[in-house]
Amino acid sequence: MIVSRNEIEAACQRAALGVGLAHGFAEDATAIAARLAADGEDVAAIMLAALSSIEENGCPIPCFNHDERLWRSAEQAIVPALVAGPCAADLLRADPGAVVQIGRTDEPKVIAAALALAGLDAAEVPLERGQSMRLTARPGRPLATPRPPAEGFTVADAVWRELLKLAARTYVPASEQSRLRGAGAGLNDAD
Amino acid sequence: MPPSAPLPDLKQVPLRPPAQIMRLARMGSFFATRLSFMRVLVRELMTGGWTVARPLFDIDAVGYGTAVYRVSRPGRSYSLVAFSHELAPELRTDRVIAEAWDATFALCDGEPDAGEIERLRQNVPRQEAGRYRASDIVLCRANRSLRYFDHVAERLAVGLQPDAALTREVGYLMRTTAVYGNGKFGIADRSRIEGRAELAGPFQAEMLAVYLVRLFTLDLVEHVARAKAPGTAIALAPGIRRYIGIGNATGLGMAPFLMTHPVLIGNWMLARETALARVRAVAVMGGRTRRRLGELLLRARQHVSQWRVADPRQSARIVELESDLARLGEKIADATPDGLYRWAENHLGLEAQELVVSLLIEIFPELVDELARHMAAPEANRFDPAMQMVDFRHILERDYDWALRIDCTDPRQRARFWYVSEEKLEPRLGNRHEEPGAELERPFAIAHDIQALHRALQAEDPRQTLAVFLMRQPQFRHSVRRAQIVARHPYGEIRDNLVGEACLPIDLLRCKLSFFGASKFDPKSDRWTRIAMYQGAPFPSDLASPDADDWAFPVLP
Repeated sequence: MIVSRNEIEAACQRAALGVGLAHGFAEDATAIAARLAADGEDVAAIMLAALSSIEENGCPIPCFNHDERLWRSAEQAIVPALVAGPCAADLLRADPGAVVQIGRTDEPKVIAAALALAGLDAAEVPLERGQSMRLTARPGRPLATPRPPAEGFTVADAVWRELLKLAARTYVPASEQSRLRGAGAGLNDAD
Repeated sequence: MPPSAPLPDLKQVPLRPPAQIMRLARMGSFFATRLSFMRVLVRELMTGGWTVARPLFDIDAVGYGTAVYRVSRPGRSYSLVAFSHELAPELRTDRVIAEAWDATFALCDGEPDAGEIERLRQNVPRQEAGRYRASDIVLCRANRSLRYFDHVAERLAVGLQPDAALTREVGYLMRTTAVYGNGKFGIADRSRIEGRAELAGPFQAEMLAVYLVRLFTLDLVEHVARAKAPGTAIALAPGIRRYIGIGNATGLGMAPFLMTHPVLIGNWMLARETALARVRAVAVMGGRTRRRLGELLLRARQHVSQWRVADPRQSARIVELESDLARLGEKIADATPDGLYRWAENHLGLEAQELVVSLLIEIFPELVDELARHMAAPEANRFDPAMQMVDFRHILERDYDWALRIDCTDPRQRARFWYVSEEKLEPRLGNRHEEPGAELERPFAIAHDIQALHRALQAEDPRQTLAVFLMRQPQFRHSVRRAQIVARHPYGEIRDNLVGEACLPIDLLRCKLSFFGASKFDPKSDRWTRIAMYQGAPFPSDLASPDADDWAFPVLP
């Protein structure tokens, strides 16, 4: 199906909350999704994979430990890209002399997008899953304002449905009390 | 100049501080100004070389069918496609959770052909249940006012104008109940249209759609009247026709926007406050301007005298406002703009103070109008992770002193929670101590989050960077980002506890609606209001008139 960028952003932000990410990382997920979409990536599939990985593998906090200015992920853990990407970008922007080493991650394109959003060069990110990476703070090219394609973004129906399922975890179930009191409509709302 | 360029440096008095302005009680007293988005849209229609046509009006005798309204100039056109339906009375509700309406609309890019209109017919009447294309820009719907639509049609049919008292009381033929833009349900993302000068300002596409919806409702009622009695029916008298606007019923759906768009809200407020500060810097008010102020004040008093609501709180405020405006009338003979404002601030209630702001802004278009170009802004998601804790703590204590003063141990200060219902994803407000769902609350307990963040900062090395702190304590990531945004956009944060028992969401709604240009706020509860839009606004045939922009504080003649 064809969806808008706003729909992608909203679905990814809610789905990120749905898998238990903190609000701040969910905000980052929104921006990362928009970036991936603008880059022409299969944004829904990448984001669903990254979110599903968090479901399966958990989310270590903190995702990096350091030895002086070298920040490393745990040897065996799969580091969730939706957390590692923004954190790596933060660390490199805060200390341009730092090095971030990631052993394994789920969706490298998410890390590349997070670096690009922070104005950093993402060329060091291998785009194949499972490869380790060593990141340094090299300035990236300024990001052009992403313009959506003329007819929106194509996503696979099944993938989109799964994303929406994760997003739906953030919705409060309907109830008569909620319907009557929650939005505050008066009884005479149709005169 | 791009819309987000810095404000030009004109002479002005100091801005009113955010601590004074960004309070719910004051925000809930705002009136429309000439910077409001409906006013900006009408000025664009006046000056942009636009023409309005009605290429299709295929409506039957009882008012059902299809119509198209086109706004165009060489090289660009937009079309409102309107579907008017029969609606069973038991299905008529203004709530977002409704599934059928009297009329449904789509504002489209360009000029839809028959195939496009048919595609829209299959979807637009279903609103949220339909799917749309990027060539569809705005989606909306409206219900007839049961009190007024049939009354007007029947009176016109027998050659009479509608009852004046009812016209004053209602003031519109239909109420819109939702107006969707920016990518909802597959329609165009804002990024697709924001580069167009005519739609670059906030909500200009939505305002254009509603402007055309008003035309449709007026044409519709006159059409129905003519069909009822072709021999006797008359048109609405010009003064009454111009007075009739388009209604809107709105609930909490629009409130979260104010919390989730701090950069944008900061820009709206900054433009409004800059306008006031420029006007207050005018040392001498010429005779013509002073006469204009006097005329406007008289009109505003008449407007307020025609503003009658059932809500006891708002009714009392209107009574106080009328009294305040009478006192204000004694002061305008020789006061400077700054003197008048300061007198109002020292002697009048909040509603009157903010009405004075709208009046003063209104009479100096040459100082004010260009500020409208600075109200749009992309939301900046980035923050500065290199900031050290000591510096961050300083801005937190500077900008969130109001939050740090709240007694968060008092259950009343955490009585509510904001959430999204699974019913049409409607934003709602729950009672934390009585209703389920608080674990899914949206992050609008801002004061509480800031206090928790402030406590966490105490244990940190002051030279630590935010990057390291947030990697270890990611639960504060959104609050840190927010605080850094507010440090750059001090009008971007509402300085009240939004989950406290005393919070009145109606104040949020009025603030946002005043920026749209709404009038006649008619609260139906503490979280639901009706309003009027485009009352007094010029029709396409009036746009060339020199006074076409003079429609603040509309009154029924």
